[in-house]
Amino acid sequence: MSAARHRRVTELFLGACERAGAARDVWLAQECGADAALRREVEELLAVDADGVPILEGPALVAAAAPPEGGPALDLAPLAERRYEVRGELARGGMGAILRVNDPALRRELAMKVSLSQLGEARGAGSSGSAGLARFVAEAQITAQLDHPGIVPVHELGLDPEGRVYFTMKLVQGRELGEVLRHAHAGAQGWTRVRALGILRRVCEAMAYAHDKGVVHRDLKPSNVMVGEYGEVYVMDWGVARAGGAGALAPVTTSRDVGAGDESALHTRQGAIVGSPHAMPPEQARGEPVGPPADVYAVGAMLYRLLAGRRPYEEQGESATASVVLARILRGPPRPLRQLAPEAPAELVAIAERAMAAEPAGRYTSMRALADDLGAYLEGRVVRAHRTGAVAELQKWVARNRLAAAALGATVLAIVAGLAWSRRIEATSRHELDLGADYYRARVVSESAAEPWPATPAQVPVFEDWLRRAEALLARRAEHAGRLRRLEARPSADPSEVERQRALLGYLDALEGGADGTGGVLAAVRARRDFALTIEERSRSGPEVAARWREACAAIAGHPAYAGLALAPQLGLVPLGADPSSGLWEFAHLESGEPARRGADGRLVLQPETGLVLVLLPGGVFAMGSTPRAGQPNHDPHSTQNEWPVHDVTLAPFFLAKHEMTQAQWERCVGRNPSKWRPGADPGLTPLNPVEQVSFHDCERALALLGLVLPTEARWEYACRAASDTPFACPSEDLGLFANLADQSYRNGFTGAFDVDAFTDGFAYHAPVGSLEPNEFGLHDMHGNVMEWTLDCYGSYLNARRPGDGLSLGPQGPDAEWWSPDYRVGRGGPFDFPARYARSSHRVNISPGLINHGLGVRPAREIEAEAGG
Amino acid sequence: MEDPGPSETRPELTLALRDLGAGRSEAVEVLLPAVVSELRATAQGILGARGASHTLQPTALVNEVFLKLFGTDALAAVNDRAHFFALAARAMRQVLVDHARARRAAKRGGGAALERTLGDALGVGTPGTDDLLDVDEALAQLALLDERQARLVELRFFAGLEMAEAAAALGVSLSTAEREWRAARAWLGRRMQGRGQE
Repeated sequence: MSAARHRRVTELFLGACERAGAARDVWLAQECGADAALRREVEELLAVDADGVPILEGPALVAAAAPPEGGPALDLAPLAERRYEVRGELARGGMGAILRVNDPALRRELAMKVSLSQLGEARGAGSSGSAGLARFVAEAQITAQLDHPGIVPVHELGLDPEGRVYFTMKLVQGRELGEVLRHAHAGAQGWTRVRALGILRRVCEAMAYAHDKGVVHRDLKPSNVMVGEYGEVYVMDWGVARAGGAGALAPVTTSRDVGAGDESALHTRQGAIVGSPHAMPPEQARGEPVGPPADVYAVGAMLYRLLAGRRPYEEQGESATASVVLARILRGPPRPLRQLAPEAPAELVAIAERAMAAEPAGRYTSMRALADDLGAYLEGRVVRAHRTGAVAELQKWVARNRLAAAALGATVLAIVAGLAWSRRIEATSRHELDLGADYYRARVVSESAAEPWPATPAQVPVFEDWLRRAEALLARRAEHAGRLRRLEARPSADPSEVERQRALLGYLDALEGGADGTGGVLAAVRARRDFALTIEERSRSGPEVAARWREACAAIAGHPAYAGLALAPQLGLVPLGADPSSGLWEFAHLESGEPARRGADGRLVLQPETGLVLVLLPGGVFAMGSTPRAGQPNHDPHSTQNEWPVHDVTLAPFFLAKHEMTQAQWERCVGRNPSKWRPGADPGLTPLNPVEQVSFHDCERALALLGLVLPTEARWEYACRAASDTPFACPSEDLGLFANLADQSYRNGFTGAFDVDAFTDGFAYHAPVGSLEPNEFGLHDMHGNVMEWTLDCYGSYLNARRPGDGLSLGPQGPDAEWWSPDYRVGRGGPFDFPARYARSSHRVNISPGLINHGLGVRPAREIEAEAGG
Repeated sequence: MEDPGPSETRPELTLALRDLGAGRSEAVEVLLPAVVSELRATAQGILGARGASHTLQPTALVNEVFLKLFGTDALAAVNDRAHFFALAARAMRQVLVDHARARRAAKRGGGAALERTLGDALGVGTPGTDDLLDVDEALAQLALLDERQARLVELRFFAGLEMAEAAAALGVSLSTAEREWRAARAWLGRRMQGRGQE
């Protein structure tokens, strides 16, 4: 086989991967023509792709370290002869069924899990059955290695007379943990929160044991935990567990590997995400390797459900499909518990939030640590009960010794001293408990400061409430320092208590900042509160700015491009007048910096302290996408299939930043500059260069702080095209004036560049924003400089769009097109790629966690309908 | 801070590394043996501890070895990460394949009873040493047909790089790397099933 043929096969294979069902067959038949061998080869590749290649799913080091044999030796013949009497079917899933069977020899009832596929099938076809069976056998073998009261014991593994593989295990009578959590939340059927917490603690203990054995469950959720009639707890369904290593392997299949647009595959394919993914941590949803932290997250999700009365990523009474939940997991954290369960104890909220931290490193370092924290909470209650007991004991002692005391002539003294002592114990221990709880308070306060609250007048009470809590904590700082010294001096002190106390002082340091009170979180929140208090006056009600708004609103209403748009004054924006070339109105965004000024020629003068400039774009109908067919609208010779078909999209008016967000703007908002190419890295770099090395999540969070959003893909392409229907919004021969790309000047900075264009734009790295010419809408750097995140998940243009902003809604109904909720779309090409990557219609699918020196952000903002907000 | 001392790093290797960064690929011939022997020594502990749980990723292992050999300064001088990773992946591949060969030889030579395990009966045993050798063999064939795909597999599978890192090391976009990986994986899988010999 030649290299050319291999390339052809690769292209056909990848093309077929993007299609499904009959469309795939038709396309392949057409492409392969009479070449039957070619067609067969592609079909075989597709079959392998569907089955997966297990060894390639993890790094070679892990495969090399695995024990050579699958498990203990087994003699098959006697097993096949054994008989169980089947009494009924308990459950059935994609992989197999669970039967209730009787073992006549030992006269006991057992649960038997039977694989639905037969040994012969698996051997014959080499189909997905063999991988499924491997998993089935692995489940039995892994579970059998786990000897713990919290893990259901496996008795034997064998083949039944029909050649199906089965294993038997203890039959657990009870209810699923999900039901228990529901009852406990509602306080129904005798279940209380404390009782349910005890159950969760036992789940933690069982999982801590499994982790010690090197086994990660990876599919822990309430339906996989059974609570027996006598309160016994069993963790079940180790079907996707992974043994031998701290979870260094990725799941066999994730949604990323599932065939395009095949929603049902999510539930049935081998190794696929089975059932509801509500308890799945983000790294697993992204298809990354998962380890013990994934199980920690899952227990956190159970606690979340107990406190909130609903599963994470689920609205009240909603039953969202798996792919919707996955998309939400990838978008960011679930609704905060403080919002859903304001009455829940702060300690428990803090425990759940820590267990469910988005980054595995942010979670409890072990299942044991989570169990300890749950225990500390539970024992906090127990301690309180004991204290009451101690006081009672003391009073009894005083009563008992009254006679003796009287005999000594000191009755009164004894009683008074005794009672005073008991009161002091009570007061001390209550105060001590309260000080201990400050750790959780400090964590909640510190973490909520990082939440994206827009600094608007409506948020002022939230800021004030936060400030009150933070100030109360800081008032006890000296006392906490003393408590730490006492704890450290006491050899019998609980190490985790000391650890918490140290962490608490760390939180307080961060809140307070430097000696002068600057640089601390407290000062930053105060500044945001002050901003929120004055923003109304500075952007709308002040006499000078009000006059500017009156002029702007009148001009816009009469402007032909805006078709009679009735714009109300917008909180936080100040009109900057119309751009002299585009005629479109531009506005200063106050929260991101000082308002930009116009020079003598009417063009904006940008400084490091300048805030974002938002352009009011009129929207309307535009043709999105491109076609490789010459002579058609939006013809583009480099057009690829994900840009097809060209279709009309209608957009409502919106604001879009005139420039990519600068490093200075980002740093003011977030407190640090994550960019690789920042001032100092090279002489040409300035604070006005675009921010990069920001992930999708970083951008969502930062923009939410500023009351801004990411543009949808449709908004982005509309803005980039600026009414053009050519590959670029400028003549191709002028690209060097409009776009900073991998060209001759780029090559001067990067010797290893793989291919570069012939023109020269003058910049090796990204350029300070606005250095190159704007498009017809007055927007700079839409092509090149940094690639920009958009809000949409990556999917086919045949999926429906949301009216107004054109957000792709993903598969709706049975005619679903391909859709990848674990990717977002990057647009506009980075400075280190050739021009064809920066075409108006070019789309790149990017994992939302990716950090790259060519990837930045251009914020958008919705129009507020009415003044007052 | 105390310098690790000149005895720790070897100047001839540092020079070769710099040559590699400057695009002189023959420098690999100087570097590879040193990297391989160091990797082997470090990896021995992990691969020897059978069934012991370990969290060390190949990338971390490779980085550790490079730091040991060249020191931080030399690494900072390599501005071309692509060559660095290519070298690391080749070294890692060599170490792991040698290890797998040794293990297979020991299994046969030791005359261990050929126990029939349920896994064997089903033909679904844990991926073990033989699979690793199969990958190596199939990969050698793939390299003749599509060098870039083969290098991608080396980077991902043997050096344990994330997709984005592998894409950057090859100088291709993430989406291209994803697609090429998928195609290479299917091709290797098919070849390892004994098909595709035409």
